[in-house]
Amino acid sequence: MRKESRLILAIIVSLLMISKSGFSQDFGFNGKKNIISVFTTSNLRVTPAFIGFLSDEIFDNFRYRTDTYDDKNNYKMKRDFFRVDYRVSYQRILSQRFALGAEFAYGKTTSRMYGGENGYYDNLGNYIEVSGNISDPIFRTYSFLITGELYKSTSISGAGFSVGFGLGPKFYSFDYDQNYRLSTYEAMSNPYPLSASNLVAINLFYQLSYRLPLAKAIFLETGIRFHSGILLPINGVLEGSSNSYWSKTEMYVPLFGDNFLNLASLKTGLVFEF
Amino acid sequence: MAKVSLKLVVIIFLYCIANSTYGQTDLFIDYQPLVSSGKIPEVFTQKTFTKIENDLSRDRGSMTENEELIFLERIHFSIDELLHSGLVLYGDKTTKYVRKVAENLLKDKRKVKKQLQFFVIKSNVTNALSTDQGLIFVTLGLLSQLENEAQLAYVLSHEIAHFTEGHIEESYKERLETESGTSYDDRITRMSNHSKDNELDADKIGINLFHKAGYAESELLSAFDVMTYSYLPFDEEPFSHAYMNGDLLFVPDKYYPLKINEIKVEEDYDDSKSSHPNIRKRKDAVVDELANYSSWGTKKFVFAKDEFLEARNLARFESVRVDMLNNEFADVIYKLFLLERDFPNNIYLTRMKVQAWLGLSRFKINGSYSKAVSNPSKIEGESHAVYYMLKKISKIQLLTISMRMIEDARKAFPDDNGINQMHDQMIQHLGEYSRFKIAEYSESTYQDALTAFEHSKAELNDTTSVEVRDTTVNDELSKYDKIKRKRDVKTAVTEDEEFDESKFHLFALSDLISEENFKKKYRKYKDADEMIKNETSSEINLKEIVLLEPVFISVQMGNVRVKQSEELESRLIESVKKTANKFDVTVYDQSNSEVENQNTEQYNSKAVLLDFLRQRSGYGDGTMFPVDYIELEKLQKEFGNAKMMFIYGEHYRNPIKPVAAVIGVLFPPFGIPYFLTKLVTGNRINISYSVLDLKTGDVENFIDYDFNMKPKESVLDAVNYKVMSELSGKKAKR
Repeated sequence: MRKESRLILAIIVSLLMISKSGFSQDFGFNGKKNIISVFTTSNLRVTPAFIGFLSDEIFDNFRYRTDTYDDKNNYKMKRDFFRVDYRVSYQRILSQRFALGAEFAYGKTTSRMYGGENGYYDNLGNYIEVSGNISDPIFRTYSFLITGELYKSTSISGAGFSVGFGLGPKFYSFDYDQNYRLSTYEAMSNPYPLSASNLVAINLFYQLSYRLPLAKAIFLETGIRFHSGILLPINGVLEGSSNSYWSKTEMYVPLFGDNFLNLASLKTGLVFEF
Repeated sequence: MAKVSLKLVVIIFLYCIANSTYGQTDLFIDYQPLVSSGKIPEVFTQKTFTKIENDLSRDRGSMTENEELIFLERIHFSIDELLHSGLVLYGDKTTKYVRKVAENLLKDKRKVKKQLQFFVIKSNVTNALSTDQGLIFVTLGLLSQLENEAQLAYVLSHEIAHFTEGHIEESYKERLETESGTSYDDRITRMSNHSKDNELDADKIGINLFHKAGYAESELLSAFDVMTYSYLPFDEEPFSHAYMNGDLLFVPDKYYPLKINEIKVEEDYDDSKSSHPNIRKRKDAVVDELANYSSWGTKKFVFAKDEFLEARNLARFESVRVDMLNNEFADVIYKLFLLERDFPNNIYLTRMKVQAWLGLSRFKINGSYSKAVSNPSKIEGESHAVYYMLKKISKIQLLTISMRMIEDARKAFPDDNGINQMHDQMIQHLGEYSRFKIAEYSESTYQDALTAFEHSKAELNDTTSVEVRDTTVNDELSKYDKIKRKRDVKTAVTEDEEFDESKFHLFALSDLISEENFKKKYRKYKDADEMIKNETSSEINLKEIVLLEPVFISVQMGNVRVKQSEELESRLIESVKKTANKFDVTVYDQSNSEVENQNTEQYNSKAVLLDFLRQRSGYGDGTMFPVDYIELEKLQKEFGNAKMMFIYGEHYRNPIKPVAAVIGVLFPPFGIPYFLTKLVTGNRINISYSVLDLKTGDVENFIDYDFNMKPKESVLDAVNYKVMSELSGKKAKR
């Protein structure tokens, strides 16, 4: 995290330097060149739908199901139709038509274990059936993106319509705070199977946004973001795992699909310019 | 006694001279374009919505409350657009004359007289119109076409009848179409339109006023002729070719039509699909009505004829100016030909002539000549000859003729600053045209070359024909003169050894091409042309602007929202002033925001600026010489080096529909995308800023914005911020 923070700071400082030295005119909404956005991107979870389609279970709730247990070991089936990421970005308007910046995003995702719902293979390769539903692994995600924004020459930079794009890594962090169980009565012997920081995706997006001025410096922002990404090969991720509740392949495929197939999301948030 | 008689004769003689050279009075010798004078009438200074609120109290039994509001909004919006267009004159000589004639008609109708106000519109459309509020407008085009005061009196009687009979209210639906998207000329025409019944009614009722004032019956019917032939210039005189030709210019006859297009207008045109009766029907109805009247007067003039002639000549002078503003150069040339018969060597007309030829050259260079000279086949009457000739001559011929005309004007008025400036600009045009080459031009005149050609031909054909051979002349020529003469002849001789008339232009600058000053300037402009083309900087370091009345129209479902438009304009003006201050840009507000405090001087300044803008709009990006350059120079003294800014904006509102809103709330899958779409596309603003140089007429900058946002104060501030930043090249004060 520290590394990424330093990287973002460096980018911001360099942007300020560029704009001071290279451009003399006032751009932006009333000359405001700094844009801070706090927003969410939300989308229907296309991945499980896609996988459900392949497994001929198109309308089955199973596709949107995450098996979890609460603190009292009670089984909870979550229905995750939507995926929401929380984001914050800073951009600097460099010219009438262009802004450059960085974005940080936080979200959660699950890797649904389609095959291992009611059983698993132990280290010896024996299939062990359990009486309940095995918890699905949950990940926290952290994205860092370099972003750009283009404005029409006939509009006001920083307000109204814009076209944006971004590129950067997405880090997966296993959510240790969950109560991972095999059933209400049986906890996982070792629910810490992953060295999750090794799980990295490279994401990119293209977006159409609209900023509606609410006040002199505050805007409502909405838009559509088209995105995709490649989850890097999972080799080494499960090294050190002492159980096989979760199969490597079955974990990789949904996470890969989650990046690759959730193609569009709705962007909504607030923007502050100064 | 004899002494007294002699004195009397001298006085009478001088009086006769004064009358015979009427046009040469001070008024026309040093002609100044018409401007308004006296106290500005309240109707110009009241806000549109104040007028609407005041008018709401009037009884309009036939309308519901809502209908009345819509009626008043639209009618006041249209009329105020006209009143603020800078085209309306008050307190000037023509308006005073119109009012005098009208007041005479209304001498027994005090109440009506009190309700009416008379104004003149600077438009060449031949028309008059009245409004529900008692404003009667007469165009300069109409005044320029009239033959006598009686004809004007009948037109005024007709318009007064429209007012007294309440025709305006009845036919307002037709006027709704006049609101936008058309020129002021079109609007004036449409605003003057009434239904068939109302027109015939006003014709009949108007006779009563006309009759009571003692005018001659014959002039009443002749007023219809004025209307019938109003599309023609104010006189029909064959265009003399000699008008173009001079000592150095000779445009051969082949450049003129063999036959002038006939005047085809019919009084009895098919009006079955028109809401208005044709002239024949109106005349017939009037003739029937005349049978009810007896003991007609015989007057063509109640007031002195000179007063009418003065007003008409003013209108005719102005008509040339209006044509110049509209870039109708062929009409200008024909009208100048007509006017110069009565006003020879008139400096104002000469300036107009220079401007017309300069304008023609500019349009030719820009490749937009067809905008300036209409297709001659569509022109009826004697002016057809001018259109034909202007279309027939080539680009190089046109530029040469223009240079010739302007040079002649400069010789006639060598100290006139404006003519000298235009002369320079014409040389610049020649410099911009790569096919203009001084070396191709002859130092002889066309006539000399033709004579020399005939001599040489005669020598070749018949060496014994001593009658033709002008030995005396030839013998006096030096060897070098003879060589030169042969070269001149060669300039216009074809391969068939015939004299080529189409080379006439090559002899038209024989004096100029040997003038060092001309050659120097030509070379300078030719060299500078490439440099100018490469300049693309948009930053103009703006320090001062003259802010013209902006137009900012708010439209919803295709309808103009009058109150909102007025509020938008005020908001925009305030925003411009506020933002300009941040960039240290001084604003001279000539907009409507100060309308309540406006005086006549400001009104006239604004009119000049608006006319300048109108002229500019026809030129596109090309260089332009302002018609009112003298008036603009005065304004420059007042405003320093300020640039003129004109803002035109449109706000399209596409609100959430109530039914869709209910459905959207009940069915979110439909509602969410619907509301989001409306959020993004519910408001669209298109706004453009033109910045013009008052001195040169050049468009210094044009900035156009098109975005989807509500025109809130913060949004307008942001747009103006960007504009000021771009124009001033500075950062805002913090």
